[in-house]
This record gives sequence, C-alpha cells and structure tokens, in this order.
Amino acid sequence: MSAFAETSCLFAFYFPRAVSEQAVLKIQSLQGSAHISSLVRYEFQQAVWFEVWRRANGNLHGLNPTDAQTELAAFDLDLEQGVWDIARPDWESVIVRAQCLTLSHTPRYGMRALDILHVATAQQLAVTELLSFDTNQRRIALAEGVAVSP
Amino acid sequence: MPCIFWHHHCVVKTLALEDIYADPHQLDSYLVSGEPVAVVRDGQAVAEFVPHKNAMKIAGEAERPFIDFRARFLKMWGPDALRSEVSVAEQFEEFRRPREL
Repeated sequence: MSAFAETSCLFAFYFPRAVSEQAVLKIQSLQGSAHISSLVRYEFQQAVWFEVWRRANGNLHGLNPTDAQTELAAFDLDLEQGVWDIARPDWESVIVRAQCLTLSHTPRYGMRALDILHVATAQQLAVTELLSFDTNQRRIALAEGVAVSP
Repeated sequence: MPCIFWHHHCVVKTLALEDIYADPHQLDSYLVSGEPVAVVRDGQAVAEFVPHKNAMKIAGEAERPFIDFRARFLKMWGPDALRSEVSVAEQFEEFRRPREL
C-alpha cells in the first residue's frame, strides 16, 4: 500500500478539525511514510499562515501565530523522521495528466487548479490511495479509479 | 532562554516556543547535538523533538519510528481537540477559491 496525502489531510492531522481523528488514525495505521509533494508542502505552509491571517481578521476558527509555528515545526520534524516523504514526480508529466483531468472534469464540476494537480500527482506516482478530505479531489479521484481515504 | 530540567529521570534540554518563533534555527544546534529537545509554552511542555542523528539513522533504515500521534495531538490541543466541528472541506473550499475582485 502506498498513499499520497494532500493538503487537507495534513491540515486535519496537525490542527483540530472535525475529521482530525480520522486523519490521525489513518496516518498512524500506515506501515511506512505517506507521500506528499513539494506542492503539498508549500500549500500546507500557505494554508497555515492564511489561517493566521484569518484569525487576525476576526475569524475565530483561524490560528494564532504561536500555534501555527509550533505545528509547522512538528511538521518539519515529522518530515525528518519519515512520517512524510516528499516524492519527486516528473512535473511535466503531472501537468500533462492535469490537462487531461481538466478537460474531463472542470467544465462539469468547476474544479480548482490545485485540486486537479494533487490528483494528477497521485496518478503520476501510481499510489494505491489518495488521502484527502476535499470533496472535489475525492470526486475526481474516484472517477479516475484512484482509491480515496480516510 | 534555553534551560535544562529533569524529565523522565534524564536531563532534557528545553526551548521556549517564543524563542523558536523569534528564530526557527535555534533548534538546529540542539538537534544536531544528539539529544532530545522539549519545547515549552507557558512552562508546559508541548512538543518533544528527537535529534537529527537518530532521525537520519531511522531514515537510513527505511523504518518509521513509532509515534503516538493521537496522544501528541491531544497533548498539543487539549482533551476536546478531536471533537472539533470545524469542517476542513469548507475551509479549503474557501482557501482555494479565487479572490473576488
């Protein structure tokens, strides 16, 4: 079994969300590292600081800077310990796959670019499952024959 | 400032979270020393980081060390953290939505 975790899964793994228990138990159950991409790593960092900005602008579900820094440090340590593995797909091939997914799904479902790119990355890496809580990504992945979890 | 305290019958170096926030690279010298580091916030340990040397050895063996992620999560966020009702799907729907001009 090999798994590719996209950003919503990482976020729920590190920060309290309704699906955090599912994320934690899923990662706990894996025998080896969960694959991510450098794009997922970047988007996770961006999402964390975006939540800091949301908190600063009055959204109570946002994050304070201290909690953000703590969990980003935990993420870095988890990377070093092999909880996550940054896979290095051939990005040109990922883009070609993404273009195909766009033609198949965006006109009908209004998919976002990053959703498409994460699913295309999972396909390119030939993983057995995509770990995502994103409704759009789960829909595309299932339509393309990629198993989704948790 | 970094300090040392007794923890589980061995000396564990600690760093205040505020110090890491001010300079994230403060961790580096501690981790390469080969000893674990406890991160404290308001006097309470919130995270325990393992040394680089051990981590590299583990990576070389292609094994993942056992970490009780559930316990770690609850330690960081409190006993009710796994009962959050905040939707990550809705959060990312907003996060990825193009900004309205």
